[in-house]
Amino acid sequence: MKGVSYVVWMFVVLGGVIGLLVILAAMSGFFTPIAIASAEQTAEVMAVQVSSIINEMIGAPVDTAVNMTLPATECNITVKRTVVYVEVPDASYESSILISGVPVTVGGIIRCDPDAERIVVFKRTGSGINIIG
Amino acid sequence: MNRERDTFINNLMGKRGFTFALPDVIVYVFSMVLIVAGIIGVIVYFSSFGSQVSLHELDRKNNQLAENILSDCGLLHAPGVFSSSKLDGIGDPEIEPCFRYCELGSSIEIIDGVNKKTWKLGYAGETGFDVVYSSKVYPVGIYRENRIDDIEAFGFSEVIADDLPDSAEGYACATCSGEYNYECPSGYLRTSCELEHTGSHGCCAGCFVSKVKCEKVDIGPGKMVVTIYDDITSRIACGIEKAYYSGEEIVTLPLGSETFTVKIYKEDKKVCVNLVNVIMGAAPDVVYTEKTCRRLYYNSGASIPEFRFAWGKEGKIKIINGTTIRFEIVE
Repeated sequence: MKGVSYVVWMFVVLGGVIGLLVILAAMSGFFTPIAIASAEQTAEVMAVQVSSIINEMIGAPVDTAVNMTLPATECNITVKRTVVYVEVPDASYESSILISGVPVTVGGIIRCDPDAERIVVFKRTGSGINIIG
Repeated sequence: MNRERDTFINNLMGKRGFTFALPDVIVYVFSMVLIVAGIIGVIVYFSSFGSQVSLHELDRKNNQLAENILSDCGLLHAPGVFSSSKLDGIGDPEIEPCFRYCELGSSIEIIDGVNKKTWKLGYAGETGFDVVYSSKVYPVGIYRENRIDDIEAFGFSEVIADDLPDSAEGYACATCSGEYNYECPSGYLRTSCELEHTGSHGCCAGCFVSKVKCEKVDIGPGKMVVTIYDDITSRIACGIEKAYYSGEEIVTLPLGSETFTVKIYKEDKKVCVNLVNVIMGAAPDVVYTEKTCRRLYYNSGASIPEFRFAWGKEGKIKIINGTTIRFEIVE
């Protein structure tokens, strides 16, 4: 009986030490790379998705429209002359768009809503591609 | 004997001995070690765990470029069909035709499936030095405008049928394959070929003779090879282009060995990059250089004085007074 109580104490002490180590690791940023990798992938996926829609819309017939749902998170999407630039907390990503005679018109920076999903509409017009959202 | 052994154990462990059996302690210690090792292993495993999303971005860009070229490009006769005369009429083959990416260099190779004629357009990037690139083949059509009305163009020694411009049949002093193979003129496809007696049908004694038929092919099969490069020359050329439009651009070069140096200069309407790779350790050191140039797509008189920097550095490209492009290393 006395031996069993030693083992229980050993479990308690070891469990406490391991728990403390995990807490210290979390506080020291040991798990931060996971969060950053996730943010990088979010930015990459969104940038590639937006640039792909724009590239596909260049040759699309007039009045073609595509909806894209932005996730409920913090993000800024900037469409420049040669790239789509997506910024999320802790990460950003650039994805190239085709340079063509079809201009892309967007009313400033597209922002995600952290509380709800948002829909952005890409519309091919006679003069170019309009992004509304 | 037993007494001696008990004395030894008592001396070693103390006369009062243990409160529980020795084998139990060993089992518990081993169990503890295994449990702790298992818990640490799980923590380490999950700390390095993360989802990986492969977007195949370069392949996507390749598809999108090809799709746009094949749907709406000045070099086409119809969607998906290139015009051979328009391809022949391209003045500067280093221009990336119709559509291009700024950050990514692109080259297009169009091959006529009938006569194997090849047109190479765009940026001829390098595929060494761990360069990232994507190359894909697309089936296309090739339209030939050339029309032949004169049977003499076929070089027959004896004409069997003259249905030009649609087809022509006759005997030729040639064979159906090999060194003396008969080839129809451009725009015509050999649809039949049979060997005849040597020296017959107006050919010299001992000469090969073949009976051949050529038919006009308006649209024949072909293929287009699109290659997208994500390399240092593309990035530098794009950085200069962006600097031209914005005044300043930061260019980040890929990290790599410290033994690389990069020399950048302007050559006519192109920006050229010399990669110098010094392989250390060999005696003597091996120096390997590779030069690639990419066309610049703006009309600026700005000059680029030669500049060098080490691989792996970040640099800022600036246009000074609209006349000179400068590169500054960001430390």
